[in-house]
Amino acid sequence: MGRRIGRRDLLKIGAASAVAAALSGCEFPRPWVHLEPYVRPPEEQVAGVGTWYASTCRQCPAGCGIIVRVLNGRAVKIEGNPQHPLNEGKLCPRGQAGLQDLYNPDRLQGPVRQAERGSRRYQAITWEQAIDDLRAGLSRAGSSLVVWADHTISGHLLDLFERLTAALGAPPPVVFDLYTALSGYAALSAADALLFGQARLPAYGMEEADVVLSFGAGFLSTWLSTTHYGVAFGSFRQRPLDRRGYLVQFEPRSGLEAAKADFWVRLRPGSEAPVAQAIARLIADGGVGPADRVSRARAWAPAVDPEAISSASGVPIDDLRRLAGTFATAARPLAIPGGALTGHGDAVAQAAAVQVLNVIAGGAGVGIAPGPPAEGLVAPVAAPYGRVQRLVERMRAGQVGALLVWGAANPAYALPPALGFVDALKQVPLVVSFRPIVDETALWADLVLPDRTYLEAWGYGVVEPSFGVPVVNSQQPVVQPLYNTRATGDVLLEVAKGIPAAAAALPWPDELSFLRERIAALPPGVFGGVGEEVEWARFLQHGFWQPRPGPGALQAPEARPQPVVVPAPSFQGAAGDYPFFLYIHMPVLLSDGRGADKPWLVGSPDPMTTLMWQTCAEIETNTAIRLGVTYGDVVRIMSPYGQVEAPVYVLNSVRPDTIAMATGLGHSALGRFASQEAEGPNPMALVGPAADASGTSMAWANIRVRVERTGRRVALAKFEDTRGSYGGFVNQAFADQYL
Amino acid sequence: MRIASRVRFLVCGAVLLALLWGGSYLSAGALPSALSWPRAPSTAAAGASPNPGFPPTVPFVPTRPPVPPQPVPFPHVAMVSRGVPCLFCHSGATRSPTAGIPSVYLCMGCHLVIGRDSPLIRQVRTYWEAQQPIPWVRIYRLPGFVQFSHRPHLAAGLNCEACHGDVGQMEVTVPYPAYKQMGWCLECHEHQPNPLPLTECQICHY
Amino acid sequence: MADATQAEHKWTMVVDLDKCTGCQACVVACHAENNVPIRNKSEVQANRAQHWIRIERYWVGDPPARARFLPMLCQHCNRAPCEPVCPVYASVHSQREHLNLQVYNRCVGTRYCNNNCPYVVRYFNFYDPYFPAPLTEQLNPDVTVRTAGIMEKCTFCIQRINRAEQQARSEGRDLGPDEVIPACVQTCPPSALLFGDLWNPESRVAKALADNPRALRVLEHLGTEPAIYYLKGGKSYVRF
Repeated sequence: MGRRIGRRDLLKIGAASAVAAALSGCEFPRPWVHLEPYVRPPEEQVAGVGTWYASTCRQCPAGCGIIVRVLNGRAVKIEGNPQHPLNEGKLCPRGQAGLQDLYNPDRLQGPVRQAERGSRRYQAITWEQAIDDLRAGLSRAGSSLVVWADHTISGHLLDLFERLTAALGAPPPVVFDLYTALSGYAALSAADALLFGQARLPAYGMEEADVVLSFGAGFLSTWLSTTHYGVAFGSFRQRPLDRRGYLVQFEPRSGLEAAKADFWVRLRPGSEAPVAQAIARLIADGGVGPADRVSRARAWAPAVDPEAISSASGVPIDDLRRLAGTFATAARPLAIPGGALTGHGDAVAQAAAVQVLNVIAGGAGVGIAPGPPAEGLVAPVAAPYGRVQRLVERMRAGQVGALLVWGAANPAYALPPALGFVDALKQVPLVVSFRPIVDETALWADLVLPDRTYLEAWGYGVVEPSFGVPVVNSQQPVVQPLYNTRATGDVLLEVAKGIPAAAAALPWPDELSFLRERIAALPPGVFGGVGEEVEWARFLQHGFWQPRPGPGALQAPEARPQPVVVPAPSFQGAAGDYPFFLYIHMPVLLSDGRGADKPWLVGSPDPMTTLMWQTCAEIETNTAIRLGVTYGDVVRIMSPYGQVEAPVYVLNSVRPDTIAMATGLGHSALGRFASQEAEGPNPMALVGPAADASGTSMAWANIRVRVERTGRRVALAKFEDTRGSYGGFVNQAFADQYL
Repeated sequence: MRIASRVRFLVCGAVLLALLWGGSYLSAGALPSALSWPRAPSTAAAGASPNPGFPPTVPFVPTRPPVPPQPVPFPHVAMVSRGVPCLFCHSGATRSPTAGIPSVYLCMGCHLVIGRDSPLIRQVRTYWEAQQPIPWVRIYRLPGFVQFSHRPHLAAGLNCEACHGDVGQMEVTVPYPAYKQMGWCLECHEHQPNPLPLTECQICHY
Repeated sequence: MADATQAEHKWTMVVDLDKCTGCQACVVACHAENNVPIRNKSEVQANRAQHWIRIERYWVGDPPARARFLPMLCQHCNRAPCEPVCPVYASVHSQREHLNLQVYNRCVGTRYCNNNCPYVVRYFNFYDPYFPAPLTEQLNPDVTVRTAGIMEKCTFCIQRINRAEQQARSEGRDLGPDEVIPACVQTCPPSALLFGDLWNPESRVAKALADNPRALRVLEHLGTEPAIYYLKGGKSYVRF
């Protein structure tokens, strides 16, 4: 083929696996090539004209609807599903990059066995052998089986795992991944349970709000639903200038949200929830706003001293008073709890402290997701971190007979090394990974049985949080599976046939029949159709089900008045030894690290630093001068639990006493792009094993660090320097004046 | 040394010019004047009736390597003489940028019954039984930087023979000699009553 | 059927700077749609990254400075500085679409066009693209895959414009007001990007720009007459 990569060279499509290159340059003189049409084309496809199939994006737990353009059996473009109520035809960058999961060059092409863990020598086996090995391992493990999944798992697959574990007497699957951990899913649900009696994720109607106080929420980059809140943000800003939404962002380092905010409060890490409480107190004391709000404020506001909180957090008391007044007098105010405030202290109380502001405001625009809309549908629920800690202890004690890890959870990468997960794995006789690509956890697995990527797989997803109307997404293969992979659901059903305890619990012949049976339980939806066949067809065609057109109005349920006690911020590491706060954040492209294997994500510029293929330690200008470092100097960041090395990026918009680091890199596996091309620190190496006071969350946001120079330098792969006028004289003037 | 370098410069320049302008004109026959698009013969452009440019003129025949033998020596004449229209097999032409090559399924639609034991059709049946696509040799292949769409041409009422020649008479399918020369497309477009001006480069090159 | 010679479109993009969140969805969508290669780390360190649309991040105000985002892509200037300087007419203007075109097969790689572009939005392929199999499966067949030595830039998704026009022409009708959507516009979650025919009063861009005091163009004083209008950031009038 040489170096010319002519797309028109290969118009062939095989009916079976698609990638056989029939171009034999030796026997065929150029310019002649082969042209292989279908053996039997799908009826709906016309050669040269794309067919659009609807499915669900699985790049994060939000569950946006997507449509995929398929041309001659190849998926060439993903777009948002214009009918879907969550994303309304729009899609975030991670969703757009989904094709590089499907066509990743480092995907496993079949099941493999690793004789020696950590050796990276994988021996290809057949599916029969793989299923036999798995069956034997599960039979031996019995009730000591542990299943670990990430939050993007399809409902039907989680259901099958739950049935399997229940049949074997094992505990239910653990749903835990770094994305939901750093977004605070478990704590947010628990806060809703505390206040509203329902342990479900909150939804915020930002499009209707006029004042939003966001306490560190990364709603435009990660958090609960990047695309939905991006769409909502557009509406939030859409209204004429005198009613344009007013956004206040509370965070120690400017991310996208602080950049777009009208007022950015650069508060001390750990003081988000105390500031929320101070604002509630000021509303109560000041008596500003409508009478019902003031009376609610007096009922709910905790007995805190706003002056003390002001000095502790670094927020001037006048600003606090002003924000309290703005919030109380707004027509539709919202307070949004972010992920960072759940990373320390008492995560549930902290999240609840912010939700209390919404209760004071009246609860309009806040929704508590109702849960799966039909019997038999399963939605993943993020496990509290305490459960993860106990699991690692059980593993270490040799009480776990088999560990099955599904999806992008990647605990060997995501969990702090101080927790000792990788060491504890040594005591687990069988470790199986189902990820289509070898990640850090699969490095320590005995068997890797690659599942199909989400573009080749069946499934459903209960959208959580949904915004006023329940939505169940459909997921269908848009292309023939590329390789010799099998759907994990089918593997489980096959395995269960040979385990007496499980065979009765999993009697279905294949996962598709199970899936259809579950979906048949949905009541008639907005797309009509009579009969199961037609309803199933509509479900696939439109990409989702909802009972009536949405989204609907959001109103929080009645809250039970109760005290919410937020402990004073405390940090891990003595201030003398560790002078800086560590602020860990998830960037929009790489998120929790699962984006690093896709060149479109890892090779595109980060919005704040414009770095590609790299992440860095972000240090404030004067601090950098004091430390004697500048862009590209490699520094060692040390916490009480570990250390990493990272290049410095001098960022004016971070607190001088804080070092900010992005998750996403520091991979030793996950393909060539993540592990060989990209370089960056994994900030989780600095985090300790502790949980917060409530046990729901990792204590990841209250780490202190110190910085040492290593004397080395790396060239930063920045985009901002390459384009001459970028940041230069002329466009800077434009920016000053018009942006 | 200066003379040598100047001579070298002139020689290189001459070679370059020869390659640029002369290369495509090396053929049997006289070298026409360089730098001009192929023009229709003056009789055709006399203006008696709107000349659709049919039959398209063939100003020169570039040398091309011969078409390798097809895996199945498919004779178009056998189909067309029995009344099968082009669009029956190449059905994408009215709907899509590419006309498409028929799938084995389409062939077998008739040939499971019709002439099933003739030697050529037995070859096609072998592919069907093995569920393998037939690896045809591609006759019409525009360069990668050209985006051509059949659909608007058929919508404008063009016959397939206008560009592909009289395929219905061919035993062995060969490309029409003038195809793959942009001047040929330009010339035909110029003679249309409502032409899309191909001097707008973005129509085909993007 | 509409007379093809008269059908002209004034393709215009409107970028609402108040809404752009800097999420890079447009950047990734453009890569996916237009086969734009991702450059590896050493190529990027050599200042040779290629992103047809980029989100420029400026620091505005006194420390701690606020980041502000400016999506920058080929402005399709009506008086484009990149056009007169191309020795082989690879950078030309379309009279029908009012776009600045890049004709890949003509480009010989002088790079004068990008040198002249005040917005610095043209990208040269210093290297061949690296699409290790099976990433080649994802390539869009409607767009040429460029090799080394060719200049490229945003085309306003001319393949989508052409496809819509062919469709309309084949069906004997005019183009609808918002029928053409480039990849970046389609994916932008806050709808900060709008696209359409300015001469069609029904289109979103015409309505967005009608009497809009926020509309301006970048580097207007250079006289390039770009086809992209930016709506400057709004200031909030709430209380403070």
